Amino acid sequence: MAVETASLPSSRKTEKSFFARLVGTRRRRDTVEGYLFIMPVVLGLLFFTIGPMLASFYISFTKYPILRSPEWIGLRNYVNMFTKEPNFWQSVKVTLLYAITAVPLGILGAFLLALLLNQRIKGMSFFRTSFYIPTIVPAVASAVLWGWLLNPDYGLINAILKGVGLPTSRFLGEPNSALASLVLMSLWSVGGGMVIYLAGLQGIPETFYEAAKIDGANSRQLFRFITVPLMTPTLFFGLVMGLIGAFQYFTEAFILTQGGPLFSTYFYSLMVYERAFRFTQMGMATAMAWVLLLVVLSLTLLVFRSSALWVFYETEVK
Amino acid sequence: MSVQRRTVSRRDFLRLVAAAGGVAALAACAAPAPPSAGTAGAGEAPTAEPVELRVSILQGAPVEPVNEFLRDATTAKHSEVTTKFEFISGDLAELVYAQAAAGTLADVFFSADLFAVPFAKNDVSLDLKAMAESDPDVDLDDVFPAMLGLGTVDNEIHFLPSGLDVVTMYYNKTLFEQAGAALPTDTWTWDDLITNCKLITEMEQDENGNPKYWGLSNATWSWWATIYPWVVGYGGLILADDKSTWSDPKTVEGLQAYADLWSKHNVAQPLGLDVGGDSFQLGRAAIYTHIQALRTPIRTNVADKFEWDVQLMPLMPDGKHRTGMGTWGMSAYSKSKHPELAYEYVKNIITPDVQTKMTKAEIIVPLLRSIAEKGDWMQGLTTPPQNFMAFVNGADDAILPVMDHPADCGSFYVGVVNQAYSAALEAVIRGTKGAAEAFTEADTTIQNCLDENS
Repeated sequence: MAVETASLPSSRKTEKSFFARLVGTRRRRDTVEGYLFIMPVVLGLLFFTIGPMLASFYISFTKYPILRSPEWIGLRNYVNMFTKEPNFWQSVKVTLLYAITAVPLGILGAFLLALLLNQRIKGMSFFRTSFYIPTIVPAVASAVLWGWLLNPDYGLINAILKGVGLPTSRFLGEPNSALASLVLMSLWSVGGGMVIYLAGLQGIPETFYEAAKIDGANSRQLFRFITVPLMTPTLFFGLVMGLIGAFQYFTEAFILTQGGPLFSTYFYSLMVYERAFRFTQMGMATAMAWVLLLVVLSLTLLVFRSSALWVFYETEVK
Repeated sequence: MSVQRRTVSRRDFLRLVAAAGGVAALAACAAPAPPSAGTAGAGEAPTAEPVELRVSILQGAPVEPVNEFLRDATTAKHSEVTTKFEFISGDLAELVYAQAAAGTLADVFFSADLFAVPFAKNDVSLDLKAMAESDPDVDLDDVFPAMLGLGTVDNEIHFLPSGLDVVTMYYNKTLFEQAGAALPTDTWTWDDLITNCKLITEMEQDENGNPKYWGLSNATWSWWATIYPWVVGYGGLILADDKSTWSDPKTVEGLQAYADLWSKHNVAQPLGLDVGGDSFQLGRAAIYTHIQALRTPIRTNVADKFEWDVQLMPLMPDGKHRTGMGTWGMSAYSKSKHPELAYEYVKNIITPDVQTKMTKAEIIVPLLRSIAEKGDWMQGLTTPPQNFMAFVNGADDAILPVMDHPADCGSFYVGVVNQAYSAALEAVIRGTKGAAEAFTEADTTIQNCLDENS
């Protein structure tokens, strides 16, 4: 009996402990499973984004010709970039020029196209698809295509200009016209922005227009006081994305001009690539990439700050 | 023994993630590790154990067939060796650097004159000189010094060249005759060339007054082998005692004379004017300057569209047929597990047997004096060209590129030096700057780099 009495609490304790352990194990297992499920994404982010970013930040303070170990040189890359690096300011100028021309033109073109394609006419799906198709053409293919179109000797555009009696151009072959030619090319893919603006236009409630019409608003006033204000969040999105894209512009210039002639299309990203993979100056290249990140970040923040002045949100109370 | 309940807290998880991030960053920053197995000692004796030699090459002619000769010659002597060809695609330098950084570069790899300096100075290619000098199968003295010089860096041999590749003048006989111009001879000066090419350029214009034909193609306008002969021919220099001297008066004079082919004499195809292919092969430019290897594609592409031949480059003011060279060859990897076998493979490219086979296959002009100067090698070769000896005789006055810049400043081919002089020259040709101004700027850029890396 004594043995039984003595064994009872022990048995209860064991049962409780087993139950607790069971619950604990399940909880723990659930937790572990949860973390395991998110682990691929977390590890991917760590190893393929954050890790390389931290590494590139370190490398930007070194002299690193890839095949030799990085040598710590402090801020020298950053100082040389602004003071000694040939063509650095030219690449900044080219990139800024492109950004301040291609981005507004792209937004305007896409917005006007969206307005045109927001009409209720027959065959609209065909037109929308047609304008969108260029955006799904790979950048390399479209660059090669434009290289042919703009060829000074046998290109279609010069053939048309000749046909109508206008002077021809060397386009990508002349310093004065090369950057403008790339801006022109960028307008070919306004279809991507157009789809977003079209969605924005279709999201404007019809009742707003009806109410304004009852109040006597004409078409111009409808556009000015309803369409434009209600489209500003979408235009804001387009501006932010356009700016980021413009500062990272690379493919077409890399394929068609390699930065020439006379550095007239020497974009910042092209210079970063060249420093990294042609000059094997990985330290300088990463320093330039970090400066680009800071510039893009600052501009984006500036645009965000400015949005309070010109972006209208329907739900916003001022 | 009680079992403690333990869950993984968010804090623990974040710590784990942070630790993994740190490890990732450190791993990414770490210097590349050398290959784990094997030694790079050149003194290692060839082994009788089966060995697979990895050979990284470009696919197709001329590199692949040449490597088939090299493979056959290697396995004939070393039956234990099997060869695995790995075909390169994309940018060669990027691939080689990436594989070398990872320690996975092939034992033997395709190289070319433009890569000799960067591959040597970055310790990618093996110095073959000691092995070649002590090898009874190889006679380095029989190789044209200019060609061997293309693979020689700091008195070390970093690739063995494939053939005698001297830049020679290809000319369109039909176009010269149509314009009523005299055909190029081996006594032509550049003034003779300009006088006759003007007839071609002035022969026919389009509605905007632009020439339909040009004397010179623009295809190789910024190649060192095109430009540097003008510097040397006018007595200039581009580097002296660690000083960049592109703005030296004689250098400037030579480069201005070169740029005048466009800006003053208007006999060369304008820069940036793409005519939809090679202007010489399309019959739009009368002269094209390149190495012998182009004869086969030119023959194929031109077919019977016009008659053509080759001639020595015109005489420079120093009285010599100044010209450059450019060739490809094979290198051995500095960290190869089988350095001696890699050398055994590479050396075949300059043995008389393989040189003769390559010559008969019309891949090269032999770079061994003992074969090239006899002239027998020309027998039975397909024509045009007729004047095969132009490919050989040009070697006497051919010059080597300057290879003394620090690796981090690049060279004639790549990097800061290449970009600086190309930009200056382009500005002079396009007439946006005078030669003295443009090349002074180039000097400043290059000198900054020299000072930084001296």
